[in-house]
Amino acid sequence: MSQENILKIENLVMHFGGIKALNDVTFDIKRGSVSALIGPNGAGKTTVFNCITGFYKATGGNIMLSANGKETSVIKVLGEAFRLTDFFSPIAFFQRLKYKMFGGSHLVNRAGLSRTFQNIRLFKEMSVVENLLVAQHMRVNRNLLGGILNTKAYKQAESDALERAFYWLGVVDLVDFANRLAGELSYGQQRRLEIARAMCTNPEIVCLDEPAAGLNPSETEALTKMIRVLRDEHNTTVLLIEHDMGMVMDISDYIVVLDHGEVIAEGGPDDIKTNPKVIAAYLGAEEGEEMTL
Amino acid sequence: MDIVLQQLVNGLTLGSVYGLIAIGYTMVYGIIGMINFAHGDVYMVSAYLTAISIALLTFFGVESFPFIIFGALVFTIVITGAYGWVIERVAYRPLRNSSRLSVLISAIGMSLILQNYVQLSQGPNQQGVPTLITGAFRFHIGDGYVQITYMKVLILLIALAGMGILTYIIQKTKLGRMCRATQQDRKMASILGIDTDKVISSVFVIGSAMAALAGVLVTLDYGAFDFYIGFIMGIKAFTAAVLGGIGSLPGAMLGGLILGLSESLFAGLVSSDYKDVFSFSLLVLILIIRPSGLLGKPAVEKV
Repeated sequence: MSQENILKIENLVMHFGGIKALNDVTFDIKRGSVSALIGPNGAGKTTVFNCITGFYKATGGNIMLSANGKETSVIKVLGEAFRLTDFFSPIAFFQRLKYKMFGGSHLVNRAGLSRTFQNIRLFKEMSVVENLLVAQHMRVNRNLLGGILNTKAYKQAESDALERAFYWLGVVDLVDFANRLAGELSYGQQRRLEIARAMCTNPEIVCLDEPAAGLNPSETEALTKMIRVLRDEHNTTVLLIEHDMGMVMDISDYIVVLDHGEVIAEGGPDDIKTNPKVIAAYLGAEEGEEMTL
Repeated sequence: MDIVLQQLVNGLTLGSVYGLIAIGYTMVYGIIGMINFAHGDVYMVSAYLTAISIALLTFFGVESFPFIIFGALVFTIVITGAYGWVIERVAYRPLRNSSRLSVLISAIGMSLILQNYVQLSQGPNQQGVPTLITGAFRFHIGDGYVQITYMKVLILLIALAGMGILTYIIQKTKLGRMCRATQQDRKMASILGIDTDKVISSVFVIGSAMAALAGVLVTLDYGAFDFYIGFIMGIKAFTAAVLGGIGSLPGAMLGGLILGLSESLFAGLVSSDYKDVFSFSLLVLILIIRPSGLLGKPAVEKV
């Protein structure tokens, strides 16, 4: 039980049929840090994200998330196959049975982790504010009868949720668009809305998959500021995948470099910039700026 | 003139019943992209449950119709909803990540199981319930008159109320928001902490409850039913759902009304033998012009 590391990934393996996307990936993420996961295309960065967030069920290894005051094994809550030893230990058996029946990626989010996607996945036919409300349903009184009868507690919960939604709209500068359909927003606005939605689930760690992809330089700068706000004002740990090396080096406290499904280097920005293995992996790129593949 | 009005009224009630059942098809399709072929048989089960509840209520000495109708509605909706939940849990959830074809076969199997189970347990003969509400409004128009039975008025009112409550749930409540989110992107919804399995279960319960509403109303009106009524009613309601654009809730209601109206108008004015030919030709025509149905959204490949 380490309070210092919010996320511990040990010997993570992910196979798709015969393809070994991840081969024994091990790294830790410190609480309250901004960490980056980089690597050439096809290195397995997004696969790591998908395993961490419960989008995929990892083939092997261990992912421990220590948030909301408890330790959660991401692979366990997705529901594992029974093992022979379970039949001798009723507690382990029932726990596995419980997660097999009621487990799923929603439990990873409830444990305090949320994410955004490389290709934006907003609910395009819902309004901007509804996209944020739907992310908060776990906190709010979700009694259907209360909703139909419009009880006082329900109204209060709804107005709290709205307030929080507008707070985050303010942070990402989208208040004026609250009642537009999410699909009508511009690309940059959709990216920001996705981050706001991820934050509305009140996570302790948020995983951003290429948040700066397709943004212009001034938007990228605004994003960098916003990520700092997340860390400094909301005590949220940020883990991001990014190809914009300028931004990565600028913002990250810690960088993990992946290549061919393995961690080839990890450390602070300065260590990574000069690491010969990293430079080799990026096809001989010499300076940080040219490493944008 | 009077016959047109009469058939309009009949078509409206018939259409609202189709619409209620079509809701089940369209919601399930919207959320998990499968056609629940057992839905028509859920409707059939609710007809039997209506008879059972009326028998039980009269056995316990409840005599007045409002209580009998209310009791039958509650009893049937609750038990049919439970049927919907069990069907999803047993026949569809284990196949959640397999190909659509296997779920389709599973649905057809479920439909056959329900039919045969009811046939075995309740007997193959036609059953009936006594007419509880008699009497009608009569409006004289010219030489003829239009007759609207009290039962038809009740069907229309309850069906509209059911649709209204459902629309409110889907548009305004938290469950509705979760349903819509799951419908648009199930994986993303679960990453936001929504238990999508629970949402899917509740969609099945809601769809079955709507079919139960239709089942109670039709059974009280027609009186007779057998274990096979689910098939034709299911096909009609499915047609209504496709007509309105499958996956769209208002589409299902609109499709039901159009189907019911066209069927009864054609039957009254031209020929009742060819009414199904007419309504299905109408379906073909509409699908040629609008392949995704009246209110459906054209299927766009995700890129």
